[in-house]
Amino acid sequence: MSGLVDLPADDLQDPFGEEVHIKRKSNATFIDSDTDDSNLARDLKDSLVLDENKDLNVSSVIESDTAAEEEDRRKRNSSFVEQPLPPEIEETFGRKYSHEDSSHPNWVKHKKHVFALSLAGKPIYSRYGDEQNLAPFMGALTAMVSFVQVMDDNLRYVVAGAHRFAFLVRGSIILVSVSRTDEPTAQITSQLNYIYSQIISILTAGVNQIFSRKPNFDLRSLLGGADRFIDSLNTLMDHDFSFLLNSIHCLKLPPQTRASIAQVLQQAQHTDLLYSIMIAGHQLINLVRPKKYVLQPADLHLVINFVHASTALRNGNENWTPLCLPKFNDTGFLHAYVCFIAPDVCLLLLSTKQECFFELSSCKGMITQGLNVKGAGSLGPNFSLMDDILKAYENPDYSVSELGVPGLLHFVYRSKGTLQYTCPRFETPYNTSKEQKRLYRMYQRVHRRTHGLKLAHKVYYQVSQLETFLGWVTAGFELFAVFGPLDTKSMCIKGCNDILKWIKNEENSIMIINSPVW
Amino acid sequence: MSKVDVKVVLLGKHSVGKTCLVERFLRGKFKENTVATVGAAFGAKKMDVNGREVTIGVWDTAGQDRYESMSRIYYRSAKAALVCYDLTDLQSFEKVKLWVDELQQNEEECAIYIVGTKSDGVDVGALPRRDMQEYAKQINGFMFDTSAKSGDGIEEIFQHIAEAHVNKEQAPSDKSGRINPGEGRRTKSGGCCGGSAE
Repeated sequence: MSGLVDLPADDLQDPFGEEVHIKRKSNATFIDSDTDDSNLARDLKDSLVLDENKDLNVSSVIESDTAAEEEDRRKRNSSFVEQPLPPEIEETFGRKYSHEDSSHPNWVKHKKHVFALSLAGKPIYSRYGDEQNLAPFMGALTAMVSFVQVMDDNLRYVVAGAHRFAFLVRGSIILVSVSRTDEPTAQITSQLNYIYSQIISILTAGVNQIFSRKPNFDLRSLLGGADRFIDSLNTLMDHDFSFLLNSIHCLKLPPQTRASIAQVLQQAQHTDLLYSIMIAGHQLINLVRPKKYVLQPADLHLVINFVHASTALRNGNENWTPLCLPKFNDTGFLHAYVCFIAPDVCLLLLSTKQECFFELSSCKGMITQGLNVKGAGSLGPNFSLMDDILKAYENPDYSVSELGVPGLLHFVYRSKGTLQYTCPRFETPYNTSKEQKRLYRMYQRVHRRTHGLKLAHKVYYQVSQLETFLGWVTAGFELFAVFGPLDTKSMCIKGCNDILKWIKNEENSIMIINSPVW
Repeated sequence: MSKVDVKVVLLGKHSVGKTCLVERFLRGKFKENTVATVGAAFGAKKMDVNGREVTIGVWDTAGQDRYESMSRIYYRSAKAALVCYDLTDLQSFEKVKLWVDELQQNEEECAIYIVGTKSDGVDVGALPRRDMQEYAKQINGFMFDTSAKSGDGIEEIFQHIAEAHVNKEQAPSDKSGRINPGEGRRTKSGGCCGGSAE
């Protein structure tokens, strides 16, 4: 009854958890720790296995360079570990785990580390711990990257026991993830790509020019206070399907309401206005764009993350800030007028001009006026479009039971044409964040099975102890559905067809089918 | 375009308390644990000068270095600039000089207010600030001490700006309504007399 169907061998967990493989761009090269001539692999085996009871100790890899530094660091931190920081001091650091470093017993326990550093090895960002104190560790990461680069190749990932070190070099920035979350490497790499985009979104690709002039530049001086954008992105990427599917999630609204909102946005037009975007929570309400310039989902994800990571934008004032959308143009800034028009409803007006704040401010005036006209909404003569939005936001998406598909527990549907996706809200048995995360990880794996370079299945069916997964990828859509563990294959297939029928009916309320332009 | 009579911009190193100062002025509130401003935030408030209504538009800018190259957008054609430093960290005054230089180069007509923040955290009278007062005199700037926590000194600055605006407007020779920092020079230091920002 239970058992994994169709599990390709190359992604299987190493049962011994001790062997170290370095996988490089050219698949031919594997450095195995058992071969005698591979010193690096042996060193890695000694140093990179991150058992919870073992300290992370990478000093042996770059022994000659940082032995003194390492010693110094140990001395500095030995007293630190013995005397944990009082909570009030921890607060002043601002970030939750910023007092940790690679010698801290808790630091190695985090499930997913993310680092960014310059090619010269200067720390830029660490998800946990203070990046400055992690300088020796980052030095080790740089050494690994350059060791492989010397051989005219790129280091992609290293597997060390349960941990996976994934590497990505973009421009002058090295991004590394060290995780034991069992996520497919391709997806981790895509997440690292997002983090690079987030850095570019704050500073533009001009950072690479800075580095080419001054390889030793400390980027943190420019990124000050931007940690929280990357932190929030990291959290989002662990549970938000937008990133996995590279698609947009729309707020479910009556079709007429969405069309009326589009009209309100379109009427508040201005020659300098490029994009008008309205979001509620992390979901898109509507978006007006120039005919020629589609807003890429990846850029929209960064916009949404930007709005949510910064509570400063919820100050009740109008905000005017530079923002780079890397897919749109990574060399320059757009200027964003950002205003929360209701507690969780945000209006963004993006322009290429830096001097049109007051023009956009009056556009916003027109928009809020249009949204608050009584009788324009679907709820009755005393209700406005804004009431529709607030009602939809209060109770977002829909219940899986609305579909009436027997056995269906959850699903995610992605339309390839519109690059949007839809899914029901999480309900029992996925009502705890732990279960939601487990489900998300399962989706990630099923997604990988249908999108791998070598083994991309059109239909993928997997039965496990708790549920049955069905992945179905066609030219027009992708559907991932979860049924009970006892549901038969034919039942699941019929269920999937029913989901498609339901989506066809509801398409206009769960997605933006006609993207408004000006 | 806008209904703002006087454009005021706040400049200064990050974390000196610009946002708290603005929050106190606009809403009469003090928020602890303010997070770093993104870009700049705009807010407006009406003030009363002898029965005349003056709308003050305030640009609260982010203090992070990465925004410096873009700050011109925010201070362009401002009539008054509040260049802030932290009284509990006099090192932050270094940045004041950079801002003042930049303002004097690009916005000659902008009145400069050198504003010490967090005056509730120190004994203001005991601070070694002779050089700073000299400096303020030298650049024809006004010097104020404020506390967003207690509200001390904040209303006074904006009242001063609004009054200067009205005086200028009433002077027939200059219809632009700009404050000329050379006139009515006043260097004020030490604690302000506890005006609350109601």
